[in-house]
Amino acid sequence: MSETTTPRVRRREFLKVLGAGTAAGAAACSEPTGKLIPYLVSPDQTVPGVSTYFASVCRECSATCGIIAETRDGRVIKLEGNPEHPLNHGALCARGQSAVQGLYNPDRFRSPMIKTGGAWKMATWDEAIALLSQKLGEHKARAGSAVFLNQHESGSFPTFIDSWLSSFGMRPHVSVDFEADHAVIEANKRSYGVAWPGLAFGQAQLIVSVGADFLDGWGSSVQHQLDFADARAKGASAPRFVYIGPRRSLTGLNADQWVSCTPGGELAIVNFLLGRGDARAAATASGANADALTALARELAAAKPSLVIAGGRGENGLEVALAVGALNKAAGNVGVTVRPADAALGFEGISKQGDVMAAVERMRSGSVAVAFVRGPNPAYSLSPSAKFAEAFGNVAFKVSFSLYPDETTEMCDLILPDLHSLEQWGDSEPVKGTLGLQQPAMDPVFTGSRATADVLIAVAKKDAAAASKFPADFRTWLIARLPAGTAQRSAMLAKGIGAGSITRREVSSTTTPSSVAAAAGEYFLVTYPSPTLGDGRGANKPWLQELPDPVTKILWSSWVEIHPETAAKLGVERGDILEVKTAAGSVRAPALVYLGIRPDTVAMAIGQGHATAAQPTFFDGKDTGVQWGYGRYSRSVGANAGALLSGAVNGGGGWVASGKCDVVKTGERQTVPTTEGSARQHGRGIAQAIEASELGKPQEAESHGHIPGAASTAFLPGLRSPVAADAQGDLGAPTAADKGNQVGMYDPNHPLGMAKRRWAMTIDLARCTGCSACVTACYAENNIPTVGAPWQNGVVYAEKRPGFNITRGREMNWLRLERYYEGAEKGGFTEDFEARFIPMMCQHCGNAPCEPVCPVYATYHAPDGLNVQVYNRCVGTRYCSNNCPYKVRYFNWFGYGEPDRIQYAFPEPLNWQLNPDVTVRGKGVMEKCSFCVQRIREAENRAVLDQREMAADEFTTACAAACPSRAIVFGDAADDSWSVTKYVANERAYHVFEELNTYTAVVYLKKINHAAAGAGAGER
Amino acid sequence: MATAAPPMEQRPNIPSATVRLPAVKDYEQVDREIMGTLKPTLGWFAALATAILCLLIGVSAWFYQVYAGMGVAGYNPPVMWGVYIISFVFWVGIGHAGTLISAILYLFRAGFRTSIYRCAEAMTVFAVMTAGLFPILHLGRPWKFFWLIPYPNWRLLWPQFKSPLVWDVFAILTYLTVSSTFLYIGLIPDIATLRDKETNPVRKAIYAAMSLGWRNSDREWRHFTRAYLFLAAFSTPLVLSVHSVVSFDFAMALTPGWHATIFPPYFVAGAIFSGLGMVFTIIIPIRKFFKLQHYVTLNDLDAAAKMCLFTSLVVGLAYLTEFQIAWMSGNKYEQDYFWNRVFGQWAWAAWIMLICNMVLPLSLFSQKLRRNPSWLFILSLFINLGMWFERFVIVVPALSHEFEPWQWGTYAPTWVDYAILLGSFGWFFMWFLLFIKQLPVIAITEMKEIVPPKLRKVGGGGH
Amino acid sequence: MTQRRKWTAIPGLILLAIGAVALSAYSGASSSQNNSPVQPILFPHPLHAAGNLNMNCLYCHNTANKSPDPGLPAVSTCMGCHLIARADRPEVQKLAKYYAMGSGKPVPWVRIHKLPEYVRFPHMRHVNAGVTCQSCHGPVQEMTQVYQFASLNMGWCVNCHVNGYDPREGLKATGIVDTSTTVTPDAERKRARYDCASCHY
Repeated sequence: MSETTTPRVRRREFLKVLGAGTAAGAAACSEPTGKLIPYLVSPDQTVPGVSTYFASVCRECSATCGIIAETRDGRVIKLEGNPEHPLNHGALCARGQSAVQGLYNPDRFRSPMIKTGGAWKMATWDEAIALLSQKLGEHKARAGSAVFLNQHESGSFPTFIDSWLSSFGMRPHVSVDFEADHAVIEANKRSYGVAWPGLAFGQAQLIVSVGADFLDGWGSSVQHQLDFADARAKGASAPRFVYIGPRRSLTGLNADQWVSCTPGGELAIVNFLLGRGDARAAATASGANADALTALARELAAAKPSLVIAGGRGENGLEVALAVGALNKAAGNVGVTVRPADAALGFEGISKQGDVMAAVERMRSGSVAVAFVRGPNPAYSLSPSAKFAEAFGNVAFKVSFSLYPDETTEMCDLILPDLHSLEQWGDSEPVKGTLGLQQPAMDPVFTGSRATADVLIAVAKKDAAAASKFPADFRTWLIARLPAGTAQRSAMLAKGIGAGSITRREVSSTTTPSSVAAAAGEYFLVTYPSPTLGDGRGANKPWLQELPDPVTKILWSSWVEIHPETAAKLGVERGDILEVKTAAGSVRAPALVYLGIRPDTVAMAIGQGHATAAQPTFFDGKDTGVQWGYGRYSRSVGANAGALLSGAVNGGGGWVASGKCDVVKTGERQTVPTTEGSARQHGRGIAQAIEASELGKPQEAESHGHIPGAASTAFLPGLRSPVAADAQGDLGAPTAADKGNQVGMYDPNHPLGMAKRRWAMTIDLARCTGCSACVTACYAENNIPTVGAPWQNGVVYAEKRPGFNITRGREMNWLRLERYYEGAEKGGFTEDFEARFIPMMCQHCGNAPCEPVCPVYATYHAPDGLNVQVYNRCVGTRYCSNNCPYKVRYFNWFGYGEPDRIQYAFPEPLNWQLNPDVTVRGKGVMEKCSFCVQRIREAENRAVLDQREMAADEFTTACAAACPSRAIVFGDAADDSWSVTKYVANERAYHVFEELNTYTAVVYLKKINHAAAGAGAGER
Repeated sequence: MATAAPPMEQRPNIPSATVRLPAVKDYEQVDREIMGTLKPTLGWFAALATAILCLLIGVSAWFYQVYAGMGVAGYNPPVMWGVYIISFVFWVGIGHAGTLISAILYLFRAGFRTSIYRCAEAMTVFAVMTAGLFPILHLGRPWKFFWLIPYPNWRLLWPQFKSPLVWDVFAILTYLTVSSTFLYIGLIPDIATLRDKETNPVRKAIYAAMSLGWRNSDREWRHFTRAYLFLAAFSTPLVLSVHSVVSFDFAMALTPGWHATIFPPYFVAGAIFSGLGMVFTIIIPIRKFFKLQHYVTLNDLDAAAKMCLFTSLVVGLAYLTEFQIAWMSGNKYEQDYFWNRVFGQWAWAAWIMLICNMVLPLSLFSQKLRRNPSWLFILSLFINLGMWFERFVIVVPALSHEFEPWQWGTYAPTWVDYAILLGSFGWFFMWFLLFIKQLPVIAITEMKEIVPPKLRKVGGGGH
Repeated sequence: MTQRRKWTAIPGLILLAIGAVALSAYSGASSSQNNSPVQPILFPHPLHAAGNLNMNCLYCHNTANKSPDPGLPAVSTCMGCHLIARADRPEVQKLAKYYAMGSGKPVPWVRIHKLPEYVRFPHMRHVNAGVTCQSCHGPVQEMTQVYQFASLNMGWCVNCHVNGYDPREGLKATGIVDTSTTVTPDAERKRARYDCASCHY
């Protein structure tokens, strides 16, 4: 790791070569043989061409999951969850995966920058630090008023900042997290004494979520999803799940029942469930269905224990959350399903939005001399009514530590680019008694960036008073704080976690709810942080822009969710640009007609619509591609729904994210970029489901025009895949006459025994929540290009619109997540419809339609059951795709993988992330899911090196590794010791399009539905 | 058999025996008038220039596509095949009428072929030359097209012989070779005639070379007629086989709407139908501008029109059969697809096809219209359009509406597709225009066969 | 007569042309075989890998048996000996300059053996299977200036994977003279998978 590499290792040059090398496309046949740059002094532990792994901490949200960074020749190439970690147990969400695109973001600052006379100039660190300490000196008198806004993070760093600030006589910093649910945190503290209690879904008989979107990135998302999936996988004994809210979020779509209510109506419902008041009153107050409420109350009373979770983004968020707390207490869930004992500590110490607003007000008053911003982006996130720009302008000297250009940084006077969390030291305390160590996984990508902590120390050293208080660098300071010091640090380097706890800084908060003026408007408005972009900080990462929203499947765009009934009333169709107006402001976005929202409500996701300033030529005229706004990938994408919010704060000190609004049809239209074709299955049984009550009973398979008397398409592992079998003669039946007399690669006695294996995958739809982490994992592992950026289109025939290629169906997602609706065909409003999520990738058919039609053998069947695509043999007839019933083959319409092209998907240094084991495809070739063949080969190589047989479940694919629901299992179906074989035998197992005799290697397990107590089985 | 010892009683053996051309008096007139058509005119130059311009537009569009990637064409996954494959099938189809007329009708001794077969045959060769381009320029990596051809190579790899696309390569190459040989052999005596009449030494030399030293001797005629007969017999099965193979590109796939046993006969009928359409489009202006009405008589057109009507009925029957099979198959995917084809997303295209190919040709039941060149010309344009859309309806709707609803899509060509399509017409007509001014567009020798030789009056024999 | 013979020449010429095309395609024209660039330091393999030093290839290319990447000796590895040994030679002094403190800079060796990006070649699999380095890289121990010995064409790889690697041939390549003239029995030839996806993914 980095401290072992002496400064004389010229790793940068070395990497440049590799970077350039890997980026060459498959189309390139005889490319120039470059230079070979050896190490000057070879660093211990690293073997060129073999990965080294570093355990660290994920900083993409406040939960601080554990991650393992895979590095190859000194570059981080992939992030995966840390199996040992108490929160995520090896899983990792899409946002976590995308941290590498923050690390390698092409828009990162290359060096400190100083604004002089409105113009930005590159500066050396000495200049920058000198300037800062000089300014601090100038304003010493008013130091007390200084403001430090830091992106909330758990661990010792906040304490460090405070000690630094205090040594300059400044007040403690404000720990900002714009996507935190403050009302819930406040209520949790009052009800359970912790900010974020552990939720034991598995223990509950019934799960009721009152607008708590724990599958959409709310709170400790990955942890909750793991528990939830485990609970739901219990089949008949699994808890039923009821969702209460105005809109069906991803969490809502995973519920068995939706009880719709107006935003703010939740309080009445919870009170009713508490036994205060009667159903009718509650129904009228909340707009919910009285009978549904009564039934729910009865069910809740019967279920012991149950689990009720509250979300608090509404005006009365705190009250709702408190009422839910009371409800859990009354039902005796506290300690059973709600466990303060195993609280997620990452959410302690978040300052309330009220505190942020207070700071802003102080700035406005002009009393603030110096302001520091590290991480948060208030200029984007704060409501326009907060007039942040004006207030910030009144500050004499503004410093930003941001890695990337953003709206706030643009207003500052000095930029001291921080290191990425994968480049610097830190720690965290995910749960009580466990420490997480954040260690650098590689040398800084840009030598021009420096760890903020070390910069602060450097400044302190220039100050006589403060100098003595700090050690040489932050690492020393940090290790000194570890319970067992250096020894423990070295111990923790390996696993990334260890025992111990961190003395937390206490935040004193004095928030009073701002009185919300009764908003006027025809419709209710609901805004929510995007499950993929969070509060907008994900918007500069192409993977997250290219990741379809799990609910609407829209990408590279904003949208307004509106119910079919309302749409009909307004004469609106998908793609009509709507203008949503509130007292605070108005935004324009295309309409999305969505079943899962109340007719009296419209909803928008927050996260898009960053500022789009023109790209200035920076750094003394040298254009480094840095541009204001929030980087190239967020430019002119969508609209910022945050502009609709009043900026009011609720009792818990969180934003009031809902209100009233008017909706106007502008008459303009725009094709919404989406990966969705038809949202209905048309009775084709792609995503199948079964009633919990039906489990265990004999059932005949759903038939779709299955021809009577046709061959059995039941899963046949091992050699019995027709193609491999043909090559063995006599359909390779174990009884075949010429068994073993065959030579060639399908020969069972082949020296390498390939033909002994049959790689296969099972996907449990009862576990899958549709979170799409697998999709991003696939992008990361397989060098899949993102194609939605406005410039990634033809040159002459160019429509410079974000997501244009997607509107032409040209997305490259080898693994896509389909979302089908069942029920509610009539389009009228009903709560009673079901969503089914199904990950769809190459099915690796044993009898693949794509294989015989390829004229050049570019796709063919490997003896170990893989359906192989040989990129460099492909001539691009695209016949294979035409003949693929699953439509999982993707074509390189442009040179996405060719560095010299405008469509290049990996501009330096993004190409440092490219997986060296996977070919980067050139234009004109077909590509598809390979079952991570590079991982198979790697495992084979490892086994051969150790002179042993491959162990069962020794490795898995990228999607399976990432899946926070553990829905995907990969393995050798021909060898019973692999766990995949057990799932294949499951009663719920089925193949998609079985009747086509494709003998797919991907087996799906039917989703399990839990009908309401009263409702008869099979009703839905 | 033709001119070698032509006693009257053997006449019935001659294909064109039944035809009489009252307006043509003697051989001299035939030579004069037909060779008259070879004089370049201003109009011809204009037409040629236009054709070449179109070709250049197409070529530049293609270069752009190769440089930037297939993405500049209108492909819209799941529709991975578009205008190029459509045009490929369209042009191959055009070719078939030529072979039918020159070969099959020759064997069947159909007299009316004499006046139009040369033109139709040339059309065949150029149409196949055009068709052959499309499979290459629809490739993602066209510079690797030769990987489809089986040749020994250091990779020790062969093509996938199971793939219909490889069959295509063979089918098209065979067709091109045979039909061009057929055309050339048939031309030899005429070229010899040109050589004899030619005064310009250079052209004379070229004609001399091309006529392979034809000396109009008895022996040569015997060889010639035998060779011609043999080639006719040889090309006859190709009329059926080539387009059957092309239809396998679709029939061999399991895509709903493609996977049908009716495709080979359906495609062959369609091919001949479209070819006859193109024959009308070409021959009618020619007979007008070249003043050949007394060679290409209304009788000839009438007969051809009858054949056109017949094939149209066959094609129509095929359309209806497709629907009926889908309806009776009980196959959900098939039914959904056909419904979407005729009443859904693609109704507009389907109805263009049905009206142009099924409804309008019914007008040919009226003899009046059959003998009305202007109507035949207009109708032929509709047929060309209709047949192009037939292929559109086969390729696009099937792909846009396959098994997997999540991947249902649509399709819209871009200017690149259109430019390349235009270029293909430019390419075709460039060759054709060059042809009609260099070589006789009507077979001189065969014409002479049906002209009463005046020597007979004197009672002599032979030449 | 003469006339007819004249015309029969044409098809003959056409056939000839076709044959020429086929042959040129068959000969792996696109190979950079025998490419032998001049290196920044004239490193003499014979002095190290043969003669009285007779070092093992793996001493410098130390990851060839545990990584897909054979590994290049770090400059420090060279200096391990050359701080003292032959420190006076001009080429060694060049090396020292690269290593020198301050201006320390790795040696920009010119790459000779380069497979296309879409080919995976795990060195360790071959080395551990007992394939001698020389069977693919040629008699490096005799090359004063290294050149590309094999064509590295796909056919060349597949040939060995299908027909099998003959240990004796491998030994011969290393310069160990094998007196026995008997042919290796088929069973002793080491065969490997020749499935496309073994190398292309």
